[in-house]
Amino acid sequence: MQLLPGKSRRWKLIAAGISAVVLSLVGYFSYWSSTNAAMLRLLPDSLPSNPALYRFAVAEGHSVFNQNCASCHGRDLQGSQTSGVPKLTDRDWLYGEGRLSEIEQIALYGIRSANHRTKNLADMPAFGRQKPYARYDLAPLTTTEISDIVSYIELAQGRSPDMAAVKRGIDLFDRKGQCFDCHGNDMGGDNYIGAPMLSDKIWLYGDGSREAIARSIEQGRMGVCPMFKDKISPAKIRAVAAYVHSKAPVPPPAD
Amino acid sequence: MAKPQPKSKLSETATPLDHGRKMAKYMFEWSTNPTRTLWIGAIGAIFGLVLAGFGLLTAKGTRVRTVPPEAVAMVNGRPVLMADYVAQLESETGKPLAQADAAERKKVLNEMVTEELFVQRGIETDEPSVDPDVRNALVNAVETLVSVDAVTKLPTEDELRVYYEKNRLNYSTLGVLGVKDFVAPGGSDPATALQNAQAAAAAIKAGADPTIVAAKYNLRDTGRVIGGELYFAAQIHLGNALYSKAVALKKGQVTDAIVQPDGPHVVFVTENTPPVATRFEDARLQVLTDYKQDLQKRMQANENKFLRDRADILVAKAFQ
Repeated sequence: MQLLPGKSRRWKLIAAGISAVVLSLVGYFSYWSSTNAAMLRLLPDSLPSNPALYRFAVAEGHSVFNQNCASCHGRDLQGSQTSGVPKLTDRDWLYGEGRLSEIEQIALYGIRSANHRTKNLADMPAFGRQKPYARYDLAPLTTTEISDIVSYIELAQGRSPDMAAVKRGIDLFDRKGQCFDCHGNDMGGDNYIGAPMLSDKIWLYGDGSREAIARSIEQGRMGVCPMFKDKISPAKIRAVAAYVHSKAPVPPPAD
Repeated sequence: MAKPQPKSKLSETATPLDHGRKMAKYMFEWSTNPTRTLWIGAIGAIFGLVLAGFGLLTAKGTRVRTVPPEAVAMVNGRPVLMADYVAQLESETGKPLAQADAAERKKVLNEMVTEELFVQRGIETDEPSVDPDVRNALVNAVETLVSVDAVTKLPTEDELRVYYEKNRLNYSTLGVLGVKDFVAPGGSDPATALQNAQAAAAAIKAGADPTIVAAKYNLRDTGRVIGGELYFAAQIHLGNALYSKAVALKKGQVTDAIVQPDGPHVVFVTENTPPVATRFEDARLQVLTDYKQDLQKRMQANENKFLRDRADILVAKAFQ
């Protein structure tokens, strides 16, 4: 059937071109939405074992990260020791062990975001304040006491502090300051509540100098991460979790 | 040899008007074919019905027969997210989903379905209007929601510096005060106690060692302040009367005798480091935190204003 009598070949070509573009867009959208659905149907920790879907998720997650996370963590995921924003390219996870499901949980519900599923079990008390801790009673520490605890931490770092101060610091760490409660008797930290390890060389705030450690003890710390559950789609959250997961070296196996 | 031009149905001398007439004639003939018209009408009607049905059946609140890929179940159209299910299962069983057995998986899913049903029932019975905990949770949730952009936004260095300059008084180190607080116990002879305290204060001012002087005049070290204490802590331990005198002195200076209910006191200052304004570089983290908190408060205030502006609020005359 001839649609238009006298229609030139040019018009036929244009019509064919438009049809091709429309069909391509429909095809791409179908592929994109079905791949998103397949990515979401997988259990989060199973995604890395499906290379095609994982690659798709990582590629999608890159732009999601830049739009929503890079303002704090940086486009290079290096974080900021000035602002206490963790680096995301190492194996030192403040919360969890770096499994994709754990990252997804943080992207969904954030940290200290007021949602009941958020990570919010403990804060670092501000021992230089009259009431150091809102969750339960703790006594403030004097500057001398803070200095003694810093000496103890320095010993765990392999430095050579004044041993008399270390002895006092151990007692304060275990009793008055109750530091062991979150950071552990061995200063190994607790990645369930987000308490950092104090015996390694990785510092969330500052450079690990005496002054920087003392400032953290004196002023307290309480980092936050917003929840994105109602802000971006489940597919984008899964994708950004995959992107962050892909940047950490050799994550532990899912099981 | 010149290539022959393709033949046009209209002569080369045809005007645009001729083209238009030809097109209109064709369109008329095409659209008046009854069989074709019926087919096109039928296809359009089917397409419209499919579109309307899809929109109706997938609209929020309508029953759906499928579980979306991000969910493990749908409860009255509300999804139970897979991410929540995985996290709750790990939290309850202490093991990853892959290691949980079928009974454990089913138990957790049932609990989550029950929770969703109860939440929905709570909304039906209007729990937010009667339960203070639910109200608080809702208020917190809305506050968080409206200020989420403030949490994610990182101000520029210039914006932070401007904020720091505007609020400079807030950024200083904490003052530290160290003292030896001596008391001459009043007992049955307050006059002698006061004389002893005054003599001790005079001797220390003259340069004598405070500990030796205290022993000589029967003064006791209260031990209220040990080492250097932050100003607020020293104030609590010494009390306002002694603190206000001591904090005004420099290291090595001593107060006069200050009469207190437990006897006259003499306070010798061993250390007094007043607060010092903190440089922007050192206070940056605190400035950032304060900046964000201020921004959050402003956003919450704006939301409050917006809600009030569109709300219909009537206040009884007696309470206006």
